[in-house]
Amino acid sequence: MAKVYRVNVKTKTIAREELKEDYRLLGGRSLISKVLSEEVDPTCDPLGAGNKLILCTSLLAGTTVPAAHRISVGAKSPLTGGIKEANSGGTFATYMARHDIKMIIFEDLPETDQWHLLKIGKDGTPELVPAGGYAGLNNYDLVEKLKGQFGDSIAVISIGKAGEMQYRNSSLQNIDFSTGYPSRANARGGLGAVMGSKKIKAVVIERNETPHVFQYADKERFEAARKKFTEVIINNAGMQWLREIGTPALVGITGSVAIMPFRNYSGGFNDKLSSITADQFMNNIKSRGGKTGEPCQAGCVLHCSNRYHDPDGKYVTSGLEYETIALCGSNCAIADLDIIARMDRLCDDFGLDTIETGATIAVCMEAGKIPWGDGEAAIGLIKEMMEGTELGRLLGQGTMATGKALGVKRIPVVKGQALSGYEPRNLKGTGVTYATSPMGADHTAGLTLEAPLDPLNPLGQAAVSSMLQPIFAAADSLMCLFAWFAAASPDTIPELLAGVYGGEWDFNKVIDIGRQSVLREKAFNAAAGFKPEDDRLPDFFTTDKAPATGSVFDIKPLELDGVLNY
Amino acid sequence: MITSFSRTVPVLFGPGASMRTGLKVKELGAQKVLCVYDQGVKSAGIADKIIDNLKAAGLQVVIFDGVKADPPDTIINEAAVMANEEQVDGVVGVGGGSTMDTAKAINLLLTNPPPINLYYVGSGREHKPGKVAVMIPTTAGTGSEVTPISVVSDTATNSKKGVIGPATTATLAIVDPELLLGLPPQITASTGMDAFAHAAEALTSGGMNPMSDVLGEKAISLITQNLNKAVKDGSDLAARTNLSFAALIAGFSFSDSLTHWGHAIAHTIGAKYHIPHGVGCALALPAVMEYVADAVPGKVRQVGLAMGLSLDENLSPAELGGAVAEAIRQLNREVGIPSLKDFKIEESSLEQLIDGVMTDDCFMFGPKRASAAQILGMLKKVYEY
Repeated sequence: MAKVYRVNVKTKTIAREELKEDYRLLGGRSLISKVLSEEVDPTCDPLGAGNKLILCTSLLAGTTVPAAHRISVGAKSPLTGGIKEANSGGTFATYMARHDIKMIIFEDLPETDQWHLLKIGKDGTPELVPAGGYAGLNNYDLVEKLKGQFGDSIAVISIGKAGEMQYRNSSLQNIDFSTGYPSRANARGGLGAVMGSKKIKAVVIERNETPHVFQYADKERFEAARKKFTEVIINNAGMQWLREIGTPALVGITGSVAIMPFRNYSGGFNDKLSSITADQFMNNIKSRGGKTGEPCQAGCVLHCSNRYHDPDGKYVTSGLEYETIALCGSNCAIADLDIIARMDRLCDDFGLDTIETGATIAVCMEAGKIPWGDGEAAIGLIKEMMEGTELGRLLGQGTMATGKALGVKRIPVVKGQALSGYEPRNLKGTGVTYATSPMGADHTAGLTLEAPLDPLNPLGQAAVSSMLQPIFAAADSLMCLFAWFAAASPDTIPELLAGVYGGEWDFNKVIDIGRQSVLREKAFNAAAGFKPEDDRLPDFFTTDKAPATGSVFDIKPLELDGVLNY
Repeated sequence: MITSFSRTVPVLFGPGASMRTGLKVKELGAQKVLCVYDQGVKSAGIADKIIDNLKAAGLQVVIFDGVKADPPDTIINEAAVMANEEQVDGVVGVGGGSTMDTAKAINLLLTNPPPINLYYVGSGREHKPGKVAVMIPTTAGTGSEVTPISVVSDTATNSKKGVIGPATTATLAIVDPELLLGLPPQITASTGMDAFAHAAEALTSGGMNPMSDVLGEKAISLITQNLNKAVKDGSDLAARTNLSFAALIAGFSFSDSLTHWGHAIAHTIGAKYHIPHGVGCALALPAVMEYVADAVPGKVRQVGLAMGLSLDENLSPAELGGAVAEAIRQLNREVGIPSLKDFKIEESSLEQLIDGVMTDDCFMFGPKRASAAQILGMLKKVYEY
């Protein structure tokens, strides 16, 4: 059975456990929800001794399934006050799996201000190492210094200064497979602050020479299923855009129908859209030695990541994604990809969620703190966060806190978390997901962009969101979402699981992993004090017509209350 | 809120309208058409009348008379191969919902690569317009002559799938009530209640479309007043005309607002027990009205008022739902709709229907969400009838 390391940051002890039998068929988001439900009091202070920070791998990690290695991080969120799971690709989950480590749990609070690293050695031995020399570093310098000490063959998940300062918009970052930089983010919900509260600067895993050999229940069946799954992904012409461009390809698609947010979720069209669409992005990539089509994790066949260079051909950032362009760009009326790339780099380095950061900056623009579209001023706000000025510390508390403090009427958050890159009046199904997901407003909880419905017509939107949310939760429990959607079908995923874990599987049993997870999350939030009234979008979406479409968010409360009611 | 009124199938309506079939098909530019029907329409003598009419207008006619109820994908795919080999430039569907859905699906495959299974709702695959497609209903129920939908039975999964788009929308509907004069009472009743369900579900769906509401109310009113007359006297042309018109506007009504749980239940019962679609709709509808009354009390009231009920303004949603449900059950009894018990279905088997209902496309369009336990509650009420 896979290993679990339980780290008490108060006593500085590490218990080695075996993964419980009833956790065996869980991973990623579903394992996080299970452990949090069983071990954490939903009413606890997210930054107090009662909260736990959980790192675990996806259910198919350790296998040779492509894109199976996601690292999930979970805790009670200091941003939403509810349950939270955030995952990323990168190298960390692969290294955990090489050591057959399923989960690492950090408990309690330290009694001193001393920072530590959790180091897992080549032989798999975990050790808390004083990290005084690393505190105060941001992620890029931190990873470089760690490589200097431990060698290049390490995986790292870490917080920058934002996490140290317990900003509620802070992320954990882990190393991108292609570039070697800490550009993959477990971004949402301020989990970096939970790690910061426990005074853990980073987890470092040394690469073992001989990786753990995964024991398949039925190797032959698995190999046949893996081959089919891989072929479906490779041959899926509908995913070609991801390989060639990556998620920035969505900018033109959503922007042209006013689904991409513009000027603090005004609901209008972006009048400078062409400056940030895929054509401009690809021009900048190609003319400066950047790259698309890169894998963020070993063994991926989708290759949707990228590296972005400045006009002098110098590396700026990697994994520049649609959501960052939508929130730090369009939503702030910033129409310059070079500025957006710099914002992305600063966020990765300092350890901030780019979605929350972009939404917070737009709220500042709405309040008149800085002008709309002023990229340098936006970067100035991120630097204020980094420097910890009074305004910077406010911004670090997220969009809701900033909006309220500045007296902004339109604050685009649900359960305290900023909406991601889809305007809910113009893509109503995703609005339902934003409103009802136990995670707070988040597209990876159930994006409806591909649903066969008129996105402006309320008809069927609650049902589609309700149907999709367990599917997305299942995907986030098993593997990379894109691999799932490139290949998921009743005869691929169930066959994979049958080969890996044995037993008979059908699609419904797979989806049930997600369904049960969502139900546990709902129950956790209810115990934390959330009410049905928290499953709503901010009023302005229901009262102010989106200028691009005349649409308001008109899914009735009664319908929203029935979502996730299986 | 902003709604769209998007259904624009031209209609030629009235007793004797089918006598203009050849003329109209020729006007639309076709020269060689596939005439699609089933054995029932053939033995009623209707098919030959239409074929003769087409030929008299100078059109070449290829025949496909192998339509089956709940039309299977396999038959549609085979018929389309034949139609393409014959190089027809149009289809004429003469019959009930199964026939028209078959004809419209064949029309899709005249201009799009086979098989029909590629185009199910949810596949993400759009299709190009088909060729000339003229639909002539011989029942007053389905509304398929004016809807953009073709419902296909997927033989691989034993479930019903929808295909929606320009090729599954008729170029012209020819509605001739005289073609219904010989329709047996039980088919008159079940198809009539299918149309009633289209109207009542469109009114109460999550669609909230005022055009659908107006059309739905009138359809309910006409069916309530005329269905029993036509069941008792199949030759009552006035009743047949009113019912044909009601089915037509009910079809327009649910094209924008869409049907919901009643049809999800009817599709599931139909697939499992082979109960006629209209009977399934008639049995499901009362329980559905009761269940949605708290979400859309005003709309359930509109259904009741259109049926001619006098409903006190102070009724609670539950009382309202109960009153309207009971009136529909009463209408069912009057026109002789059988119960699930008559089909020898055991109450203990109802649980096996839940998954089918929840995964049916129509389940999405209710005015609120329903859990598995709530669906079972509805199914039990359906069973009690």
